[in-house]
Amino acid sequence: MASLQETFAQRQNESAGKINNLYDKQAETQAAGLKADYDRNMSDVQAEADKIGPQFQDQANTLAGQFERQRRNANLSGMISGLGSGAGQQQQNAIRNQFVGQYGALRGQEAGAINDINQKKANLTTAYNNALVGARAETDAKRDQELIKNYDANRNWYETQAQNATNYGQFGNLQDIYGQAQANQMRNTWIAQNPDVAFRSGMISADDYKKLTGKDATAGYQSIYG
Amino acid sequence: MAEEEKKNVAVAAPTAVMTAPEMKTQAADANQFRQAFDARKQGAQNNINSTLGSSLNTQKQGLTDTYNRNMTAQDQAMATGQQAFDFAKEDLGTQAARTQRGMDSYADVRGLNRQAGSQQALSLGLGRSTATGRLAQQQQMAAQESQRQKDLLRTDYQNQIAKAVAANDYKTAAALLDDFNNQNNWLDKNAAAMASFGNFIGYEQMYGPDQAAAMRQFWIGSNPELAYNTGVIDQERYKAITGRDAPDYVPLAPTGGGYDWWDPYAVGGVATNSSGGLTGGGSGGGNTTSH
Repeated sequence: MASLQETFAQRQNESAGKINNLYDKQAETQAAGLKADYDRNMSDVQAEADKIGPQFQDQANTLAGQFERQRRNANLSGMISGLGSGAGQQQQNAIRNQFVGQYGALRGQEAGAINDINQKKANLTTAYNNALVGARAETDAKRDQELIKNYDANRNWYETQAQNATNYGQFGNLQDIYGQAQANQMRNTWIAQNPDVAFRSGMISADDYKKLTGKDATAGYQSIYG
Repeated sequence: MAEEEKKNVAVAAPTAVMTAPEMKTQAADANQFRQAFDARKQGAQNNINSTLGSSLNTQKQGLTDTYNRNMTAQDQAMATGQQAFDFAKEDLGTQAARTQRGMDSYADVRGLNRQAGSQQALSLGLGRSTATGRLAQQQQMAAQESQRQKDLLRTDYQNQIAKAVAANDYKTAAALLDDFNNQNNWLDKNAAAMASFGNFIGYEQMYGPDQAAAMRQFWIGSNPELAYNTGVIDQERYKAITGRDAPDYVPLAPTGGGYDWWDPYAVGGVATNSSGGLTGGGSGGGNTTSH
């Protein structure tokens, strides 16, 4: 690290990256859970759908059997009772019409059942997509909150460390907090209050020391070690 | 020391931020500290990945075992169900043949005409055909349902694995974030602790080498006696900073800016350097002062 600013930037980037990763993983976990529910629900609906065809085919077969029996019975009874061909034909037509009507109604019910199933599937898919979007939005909202908190925490850390550095005579980091003029002012005030340490630490020259104290630089030694 | 000489020394002091041996030692220590810190971080991350990775493997194995058991049970149930349908179809065929034979002999006895017999046969045939067809349809539906259950088991298994992986990734990400914060807190705490003892290698990680060196210089300027006594500065630096000759007692650690251990049990209580050799001596020992 070359400076506190760079350390701050690195920590900020790394922690933000880890937070982003965390919420990406949370979103993936939620998505995996939603997909599992969706697949299970769709499978249940598909099972219902699979039953429709055979169920209606069974009913259609029964209907066709009934029709065939009725038709043959009518034929037989016509022959026995000696019905004329016109009356027999009428009876046959009536049976056929009844069958066609019932068969049509049955196929209508089947189509209705298939529509219901398709609607259920569409509803499930819509609910699934909405749940995904909702979960993602919720995760993103939490992520944003965490990123803001994280930035604040890192910024607080930076400011604390910048203040801490002043305990070791380092005021440069305060520029980012107070501006350069203010930071310089703080540094100069501190030096004026602690000219001996400032001189011995190399913060000011002997000339500056003399300007500040009106004494030769060596007086700094005397004030402490004299 | 003459006044003029003291002044010259004093003017030179601010420029002597760090001597070459000090810089070398400081750099070596900083490097060692950085390596230790990196190793600590890496160790923690490895531990997280290993622990959670192992936990995930256990979970996956459990899910796979359950899946295999369920699939086997489903296959067995399917086979048993299909066999039951086959038996039922055979029974239906046998029953139909018996009924047909019965009807034939009944018609013979009663002398039913061909048309009525044919109608009855048709009725019987239709009935048998419907029953057989229904049975076959039920069998097919049962097979379909069984296949659906298997497909569901497979999909569910894949989804459970995906969920376990995602949950594990989430836990890992959370642990790594925690660890990142913990490592930084550790660095902050220990860097501050070391700085209070005049060791700025931790702060070098935070503030950079230039500012850490300036901090160190500041600390030395604020604590020249301590800096000399602990071997952070040598006699020459001490004199440059304070304008006084260094005390003639032996410092606790070798000069040159190192951070070698002071061994109180060494001969005469004097310091040893990192290779264990004596760095000072004298009858006075490390704690004797002679101003």
